[in-house]
Amino acid sequence: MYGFEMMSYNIKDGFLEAIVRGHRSGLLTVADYNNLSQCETLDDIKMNLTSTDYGAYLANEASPIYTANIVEKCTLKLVNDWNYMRSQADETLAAFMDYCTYGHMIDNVVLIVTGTLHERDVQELLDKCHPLGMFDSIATLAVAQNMRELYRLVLVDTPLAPYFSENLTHEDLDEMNIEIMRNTLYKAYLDDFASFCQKLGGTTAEIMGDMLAFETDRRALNITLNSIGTELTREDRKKLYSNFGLLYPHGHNELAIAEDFDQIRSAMEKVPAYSGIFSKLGYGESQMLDKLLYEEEVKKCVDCFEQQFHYSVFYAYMKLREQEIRNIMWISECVAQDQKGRISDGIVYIF
Amino acid sequence: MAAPKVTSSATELDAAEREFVETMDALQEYLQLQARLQDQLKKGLMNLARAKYSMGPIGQAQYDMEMQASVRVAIKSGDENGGSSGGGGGAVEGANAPCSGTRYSFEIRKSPNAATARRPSPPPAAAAATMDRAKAAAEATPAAAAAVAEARGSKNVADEVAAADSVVRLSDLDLLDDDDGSGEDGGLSGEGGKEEEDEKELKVANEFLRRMRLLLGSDGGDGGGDGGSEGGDVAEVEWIRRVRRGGRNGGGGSDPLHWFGVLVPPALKDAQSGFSAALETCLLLANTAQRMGPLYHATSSAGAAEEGAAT
Repeated sequence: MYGFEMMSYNIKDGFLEAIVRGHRSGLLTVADYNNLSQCETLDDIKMNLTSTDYGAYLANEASPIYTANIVEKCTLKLVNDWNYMRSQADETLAAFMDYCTYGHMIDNVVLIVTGTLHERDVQELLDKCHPLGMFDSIATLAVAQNMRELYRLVLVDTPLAPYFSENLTHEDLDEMNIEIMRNTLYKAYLDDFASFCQKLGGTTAEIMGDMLAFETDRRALNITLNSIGTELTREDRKKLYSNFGLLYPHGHNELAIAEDFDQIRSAMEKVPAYSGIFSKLGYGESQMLDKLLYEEEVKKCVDCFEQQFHYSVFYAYMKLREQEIRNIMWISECVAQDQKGRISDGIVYIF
Repeated sequence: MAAPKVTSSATELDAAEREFVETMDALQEYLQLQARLQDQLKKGLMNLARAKYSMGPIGQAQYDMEMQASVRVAIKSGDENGGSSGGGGGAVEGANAPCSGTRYSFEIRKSPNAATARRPSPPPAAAAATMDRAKAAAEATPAAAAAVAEARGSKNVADEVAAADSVVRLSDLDLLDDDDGSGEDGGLSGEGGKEEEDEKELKVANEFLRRMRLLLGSDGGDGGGDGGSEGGDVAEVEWIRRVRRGGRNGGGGSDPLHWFGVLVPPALKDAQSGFSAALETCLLLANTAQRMGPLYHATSSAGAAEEGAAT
């Protein structure tokens, strides 16, 4: 029930909410981004970042430094913060925080299975996995040969088990099947996460409902956009869309039959919340779409901190950090490629 | 100091001037192509950065270890004596130029996207390469038709070997599939007696454990172990890998874009086409440099000869 959270939230979760708000105030500001944009080399970027929250992580990096190293160290900061909070979280918050990391777990599973398909060494692949999505038996994924084995022998003991449906195929894991598996798992995960949040009720349910709806619509849009020109059929595409969100169910029907960007655009513009985004894009242009979608997401995440005594701040913090890392990656790439004029094409300012 | 005596005749002067103009044209084309290449590479790298922005980090960890070249460069050498390889000699303009050294022309050959050409990889690749060279030779010298026929014959042999191999692999796959099939179906569909199901599940689990042990053993077992059993283990691991590969659709002829997933952002597709175009520009640059090179040497050596005559 609304309003009564104030009375009981701080008993278990007050400390961690304070911690996450402290982290949030350490996110980079416009001034920081301006300083970074004026750097000439990656070493300058590293020097500028040492005066921010990332200082401790980047200070001891030896030159020459590369974009991938910078991104890795910044991700390490997010991972450490997250693990610190997770280890102190009490029951419900712990379950919520675990839900936030299942997306990374799915990505790790796909990374390992794809890498095994390409005859790569398992140790090498484990190094590339996202630390927030690790689980104990992840290395044994390398031995599975089809989806059934993948499920019954490895994933049945992981939190991803409920996301596999009963009608698993015999088919060997090839690139198309792996992609379909990834998106099917993600769909089931988002559906599950949304229903978990609804069960929590109160402010959490309201805010998370909104953010997850946006996430699922964004995924539907990206799946549609990326599947143009591939062998993914319309029926398969429709099966990958989630069962909630502003586009469900009519927008999904239209997206499923879209064959080019303009048809996608006309399908999305029927939803008032997204017509604003698409009106900023020129006709036929699709490069800026990613940035606009990320901007929308960041806006929702920042608004989420306006209310107190709910769990969405943790999810929002993770999303904002990831966006910040993406910004830093973009600036580093532009500086490294000597294309500083393109920096503004990719930065999404948080505050 | 007396002016250098003009010893060459008018026609020779004309020829030298023509060559000079051609060199300058080639030089201009070279510079334009360089600018184009720079532009293409810049765009390609920017698209790559954009793709990383959309889909997260991408890198060498996603490369296929069994990758095969989808584009090859055929090199035709043009000796002014019409040398042994003989190929494409007529195509090279410098055949009548007073230049030293051979000149080459470079041409792109896209490999056929056929599963049969994939395994076993070394013989067909070698056969294709020799076929290219033999074909190039045959273009200029009709007498080398026999060589072409021989190359074609060897390619057929390679095809047969590949077909035989794939047949072998299919039967292996069937075997494994049968094991898994009966086990899995028995387990999940709930038909048959409970003991049968348990037995089949046990079989599947044992199979899995054996595979795991083998793979772990082969990874760590470089240093020691008995010769005989290790040889056997390595062979089994190879078998596992071959079977797994046999199940893939089409195999190595697939688009490298798919190493990064099937639903990739449009930026990555743009990057791929950008870099393919850059590759073609590189070839054009090489060809243009060939046109420039010997003429440059000719002019510089002619200049040195005149200076030598003057002193």
